[in-house]
Amino acid sequence: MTLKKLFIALCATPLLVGCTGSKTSQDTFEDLPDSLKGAPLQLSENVVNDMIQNISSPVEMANQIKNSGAGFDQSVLNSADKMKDYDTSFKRALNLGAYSADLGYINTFNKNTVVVSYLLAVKELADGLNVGQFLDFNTLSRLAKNSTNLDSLKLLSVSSFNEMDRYLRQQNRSNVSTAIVAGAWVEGIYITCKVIEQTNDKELVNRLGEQKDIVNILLIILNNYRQDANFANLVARVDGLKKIYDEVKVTTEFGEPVTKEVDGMLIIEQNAITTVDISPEQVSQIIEQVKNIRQFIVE
Amino acid sequence: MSLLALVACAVGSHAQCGDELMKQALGAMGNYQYIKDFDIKLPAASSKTGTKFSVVLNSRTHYQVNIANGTTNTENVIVQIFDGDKLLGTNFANGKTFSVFQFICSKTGAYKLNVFCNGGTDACARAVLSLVKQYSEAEMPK
Repeated sequence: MTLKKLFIALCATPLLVGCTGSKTSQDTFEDLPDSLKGAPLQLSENVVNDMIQNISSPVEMANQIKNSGAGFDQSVLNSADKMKDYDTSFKRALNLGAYSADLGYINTFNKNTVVVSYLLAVKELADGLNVGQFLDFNTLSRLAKNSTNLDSLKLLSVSSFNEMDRYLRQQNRSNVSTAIVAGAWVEGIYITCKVIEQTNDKELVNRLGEQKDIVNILLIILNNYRQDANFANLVARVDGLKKIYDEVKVTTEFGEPVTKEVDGMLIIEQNAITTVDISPEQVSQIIEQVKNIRQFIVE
Repeated sequence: MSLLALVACAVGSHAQCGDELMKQALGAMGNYQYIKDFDIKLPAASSKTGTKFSVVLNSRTHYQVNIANGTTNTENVIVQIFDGDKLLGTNFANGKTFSVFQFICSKTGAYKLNVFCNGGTDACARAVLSLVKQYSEAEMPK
């Protein structure tokens, strides 16, 4: 297959398989969590779906870690071998998210020797949630084994997750989507915290502080499903994190946005200045609470 | 030639509303890092009021949005970016509609993309958000 054909096939595969796979998934996936069936939700599916979009991409955090000069550290990742231990839909969804963040971190550092075991873990968990049709494991593995294809691997990994998320929301399975997004966000922040512990990098500390709004959004979404005991446990832990963040001051001084055309490129500059006032003690408290939440997810 | 460049070459101008639009937008994205995409469907009845998407953007981060329009669109879609109620910018500037624009974000938070089309007929498009650069505090453009 030529490179051109391969890539076109790659782009089309998740979408096409997603269409053909929808009936199967709709018919068989009912178990996250059973207790939510018929239970009234505070927020509608549409509102939750909208808010889920507002959780940061772990890809950006991984890039920031790389920019900080920190090296790749496989020991901070959730071991791919633990995938077999996740035998409930709740745990599968959380750890599918966690592994997706790990995958983003691995891909950002171009560690293609590590990536296949994580792709396998992601595929297994996705199959367990009946959304495995969005991950073309064979193609992803093939890309991972060839260092010239790493850009395509990154793109396909992220776009597959986006397709999965979009499909779940279309199927009114936003509880699954919420758990995946929560797992991904926590894992991304956990890796950041581990790097901060080692480097105390000022940029990363600022990024950590700026997650204050995101924690608030995450808590609102998770609260929607707290009738379920699993979600309630997670909510309690994220609420603890929010309380720490409540004391962190993030202020923004707004200027007027500017639009300019530079060499034919339209550029919009927001022109705001954000200041994060976070003490070393608050950083330590956040790190400890993030570890607590992450332990709950991966244990 | 990169794979993405190959895609750009491979995709013709006959994209309507399907996967071809996604490939076209990805091809135009170049070597920046893909973050997410927005599938834009605008029925004639509501195409002028448009549809909204939420997205979290991070401070000190330079993003790019590439837009691929359906070939049956009577006009190209217009994308506006809002922080709350405040309009920060749009791809319609200097009397033309740009198929790509960049946004330098200086506040982490939830933003809205409002997408509409003045054609008054059914319209579709695909927009791809990508990461251009993350700035340190010292590097941030003044």
